[in-house]
Amino acid sequence: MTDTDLIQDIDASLEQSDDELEDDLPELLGRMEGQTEDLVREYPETFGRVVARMETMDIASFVSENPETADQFQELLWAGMNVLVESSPEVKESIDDDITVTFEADDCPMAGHLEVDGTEQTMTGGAGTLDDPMLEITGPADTLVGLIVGRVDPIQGFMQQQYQMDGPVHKGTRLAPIMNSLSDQVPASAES
Amino acid sequence: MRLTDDQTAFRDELRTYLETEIEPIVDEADRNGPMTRDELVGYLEDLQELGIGFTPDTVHRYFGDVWRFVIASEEISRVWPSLNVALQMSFPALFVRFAADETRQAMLPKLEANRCIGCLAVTEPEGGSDTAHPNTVARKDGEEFVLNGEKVWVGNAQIADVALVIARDASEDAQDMFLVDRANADFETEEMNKLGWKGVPNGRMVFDNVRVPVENRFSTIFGDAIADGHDISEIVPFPESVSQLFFEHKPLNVMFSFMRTGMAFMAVGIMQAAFDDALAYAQDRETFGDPIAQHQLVQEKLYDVRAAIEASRGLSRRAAEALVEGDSDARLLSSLAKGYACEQSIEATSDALQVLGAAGLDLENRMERYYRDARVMTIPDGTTEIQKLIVGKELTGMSAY
Repeated sequence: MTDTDLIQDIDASLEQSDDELEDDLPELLGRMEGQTEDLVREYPETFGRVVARMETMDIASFVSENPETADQFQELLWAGMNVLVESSPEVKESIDDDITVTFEADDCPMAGHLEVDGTEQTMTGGAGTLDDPMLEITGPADTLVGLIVGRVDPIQGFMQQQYQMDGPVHKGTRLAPIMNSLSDQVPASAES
Repeated sequence: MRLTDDQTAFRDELRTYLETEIEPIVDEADRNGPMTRDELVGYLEDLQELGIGFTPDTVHRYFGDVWRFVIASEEISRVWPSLNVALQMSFPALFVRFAADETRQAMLPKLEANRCIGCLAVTEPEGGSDTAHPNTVARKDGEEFVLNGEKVWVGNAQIADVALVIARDASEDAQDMFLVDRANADFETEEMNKLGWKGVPNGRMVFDNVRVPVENRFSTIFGDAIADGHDISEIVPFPESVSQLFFEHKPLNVMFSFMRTGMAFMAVGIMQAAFDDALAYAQDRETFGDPIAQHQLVQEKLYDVRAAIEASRGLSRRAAEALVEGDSDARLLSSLAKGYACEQSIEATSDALQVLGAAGLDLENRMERYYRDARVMTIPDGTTEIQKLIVGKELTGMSAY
């Protein structure tokens, strides 16, 4: 099966209802494994549409019902973000500090991390937690995914207590503009 | 705890101002009821010279130094608690610096000239202290929020240029605050009379389809300022140790902890004033041929009042230290100090009044004002009952409210 077939199948699933998409997603994520970053790089519009659909999906319910795919689901998100950082001078310019963050959902078994390197001007994320992160972010899975894809404004979300953050405040305030500049590049959020 | 030379100098300068400018007029001023806008502006001008207030040049010396803030709170309240309340409740004015263009244009020149009066609209007729679930609603309509709701007991309501209003943001289904400036959006106010703090203009505020720009939502003010490269201490000019608590205790709760510590010192100031008058009276007034200070039961009253002052001041200083150190117990200690000191101030002023006997009941004697002002202390900024629940939650990790 070629990449084109897989992308066609993803596009077809995106046309379906949330329930049907959630049924298809574990298999699609399995097929993407190992080539997620390449697919996002080659088909950014499809990635953008996946992100857009996450606004209506119940992420916590999906992850709870498909715990084995939680990591793959996050890999898709982070792969998309990694590609955006690589290809976006605006995002790179906004990276001027070293920040490590762990994200942990409080309503389903989902944990991820983000490493921002101020010297290299890179930002990489993935599933699983870091040993000694500077910042720890906890909240509902929907909110955490919203933070990653730009649906939830980092400062507004924190001030409105949509999620909790622990760690040095100055690191948190440095992370917020970086996350914002990243989310500006997400195709779905750029359209909205 | 010993004050530094700078702190002592600040306190002495402030005392001199209060004794020469406020003490001679305080009885009549308080009796006349809520201070006017011009009167408050005049006091703010005086206080600015002492490094107290919310202009961009002054605020870092006032809010940016916990000790100066609490010294000011105690000393001003020792002479006129209402002035301290009107001053402190004006703090939302400082947020106009990062608000929407129209608010900045209308209010920033006023703030810089020390003529921007603020107020914080929290309490609701149906909700009381339940700040987490306000009935006031902000609905998004294009590039504006439309505010509807009612607030009561708002300090400075009638004379405020800007109001920071706690409301539910319907667009996010979350609690937030909204900065309303009177130059661009009017709201109705109505004076509310009360037992004490007679000099503070407290009022009801009605928001009937009041439109504010999206940029005046507090979380957006904050986010926009951070995005523009401003440091958190520029936006809310607390010391870094206090700002550091924003993550652990949430920004609104940190603001409450700061203000409540000020309230605890305010209660100490009222008690000190009552004690000083009671002691002087006891040494001067004679019954049965002797100064009443020689009577054992009068000495017991003086003992009780002095003990209340020392215990309350010690606890309040512990709360201030926790803020200075960014201690995770800052919220617990500020609520403990506010709850304890304010309750003590009722007992202490009652005992002090008792020392004066019938003279304490005389409306021409300021002891009755101390008693009335103290009685108010246990209610605003979270009742003693709420303070107990906050302490309980901090102690147990379990919320009973």
